[in-house]
Amino acid sequence: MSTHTHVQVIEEVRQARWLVALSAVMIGCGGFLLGVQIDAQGGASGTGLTPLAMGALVALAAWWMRRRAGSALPRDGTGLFGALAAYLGTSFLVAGVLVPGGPWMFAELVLLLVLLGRGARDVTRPAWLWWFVALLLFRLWITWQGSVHQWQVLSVPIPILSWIPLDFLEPVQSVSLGSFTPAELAFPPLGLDFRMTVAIWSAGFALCAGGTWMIQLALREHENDRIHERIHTLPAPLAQLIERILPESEWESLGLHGLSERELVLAIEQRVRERVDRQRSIVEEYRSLEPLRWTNPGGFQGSVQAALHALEEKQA
Amino acid sequence: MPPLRSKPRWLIQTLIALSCVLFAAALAVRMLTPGPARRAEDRELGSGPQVMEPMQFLSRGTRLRVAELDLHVRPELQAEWNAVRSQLFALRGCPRTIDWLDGADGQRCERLLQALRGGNRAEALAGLTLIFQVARASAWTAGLRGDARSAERLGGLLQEWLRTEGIAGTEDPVLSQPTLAAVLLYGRVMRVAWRAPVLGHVEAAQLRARQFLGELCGVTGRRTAIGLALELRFARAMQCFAGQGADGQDDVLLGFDEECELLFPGLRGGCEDA
Repeated sequence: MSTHTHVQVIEEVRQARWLVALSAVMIGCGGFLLGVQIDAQGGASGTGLTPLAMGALVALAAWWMRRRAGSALPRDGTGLFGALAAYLGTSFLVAGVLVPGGPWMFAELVLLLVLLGRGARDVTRPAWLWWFVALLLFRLWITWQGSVHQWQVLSVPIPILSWIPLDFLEPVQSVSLGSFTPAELAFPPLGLDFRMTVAIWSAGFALCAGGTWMIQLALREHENDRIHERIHTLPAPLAQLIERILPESEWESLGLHGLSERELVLAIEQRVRERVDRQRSIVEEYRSLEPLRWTNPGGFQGSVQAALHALEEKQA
Repeated sequence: MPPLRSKPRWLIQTLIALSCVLFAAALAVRMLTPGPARRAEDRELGSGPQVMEPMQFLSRGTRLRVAELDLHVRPELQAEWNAVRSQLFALRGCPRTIDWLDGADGQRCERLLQALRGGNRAEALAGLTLIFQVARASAWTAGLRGDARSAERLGGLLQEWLRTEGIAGTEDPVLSQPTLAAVLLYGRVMRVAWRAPVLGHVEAAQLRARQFLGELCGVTGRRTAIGLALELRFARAMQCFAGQGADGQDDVLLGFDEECELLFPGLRGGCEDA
């Protein structure tokens, strides 16, 4: 005989808390690494608070958009901590991929807000990840350019003019696109150790993106744990029946996530009632259909089939 | 019921506490301001010969202080040092570098340079002072005949000095600046050799310089201490050498030449600065 109560069982099988905590550590590590840069003499310095502030704004806008779309609110300590960690994760991620200052940063900011406004609201979706990767690559590219003292995104040689080996033509032999300054890149005065810095940022980005993605899954799972726990306050057979009527995979789409305890109970009652009523109406409608009428060919054969069916029903 | 495996509560709480610390650290680290440059010349001189303002021994006013180095040269080299120093600083008429080095005085000077290698920091500086004086008092420009030999020979002297003293010299408070100056002059001299012909270039001279400077500064891999110091002080030199100059990509020594012109304005190989 089991010595576990249902509360103990739920408590023990809950892995979401563990996942939330682990993801938060990943986000913290990633955020730390994304905030560091190494100068030419191997000294560490910070990447500045400006990009983090911009990241926090984008994360806030994303959270607001998701709220408007009916996303869940945290309802307990784990949920609240997870939501905070997810918010910080998004902030660190955006801060890590944005150019640290100047017109390029605002251009990227506008791009992110436009993407948010056009419906790509869940920043943990793969489409968003690709945008973040593209922005990170752009940042790494201009950081590389800056580390070799090239203060433009691209230098395009002008055909014919650039082929003439005359020094006085140099100013008109190429066109610089997208110039920037060391201050806009928040470079340390001693210059940047590109290799070390890129390694640190890449590791930070991977940890932060992984942690932010994992924590969203963990929070979803945590909400499912909470609903599961509420359903299992009912007697076990009834709870199992409820979980067959309302499968766990549908809880989020049914709007059960993020509801308060009272709202959750009412919502479960309502959904169960709706599903049972619909099931009952389907069965009744099916029974009233007299399926034999569709397949009865009529004539002599049909009369014999109808007589046999009537006899079968009488015996039943 | 089989025993259920779950993570202990204390572990989860520890992870949450750790993540809070990391969040705070991630915010705090962004406020870290970069530290000032740690330059070798700012370090304590420590043991060994004390030589103040070592760049004065490479400048036009060398003759005013060169006798100070007598105190630091080994006794067994003292006589040779005095003789060569006197001859070299009395040199007039701007002979071709290769002609002077092939003469008796030049050979004596080369032997002394060889003997001074591997000595203390003052002896290293004494050797470099002699090389710079050779560069000042003799002619190594290509001239109308496009003669690259003098420049190559002078480049050879600088290369030998840098090969033996350069790596350690960058970290030495006395030799750090002279070492960088030697690298710049080497770049200028080898560029003169490369550009010597009226038409075309002496590719071997540039290839040798590229190979040596690449090894010395670590351009292809991680930068060495000399590469970093050059980048900090003479960014244009490293920019051109890494092939990132806006100028023709072939002229990788252009940056060294430009920086050398700023540091030693008259040192162009025509005895203008003597």
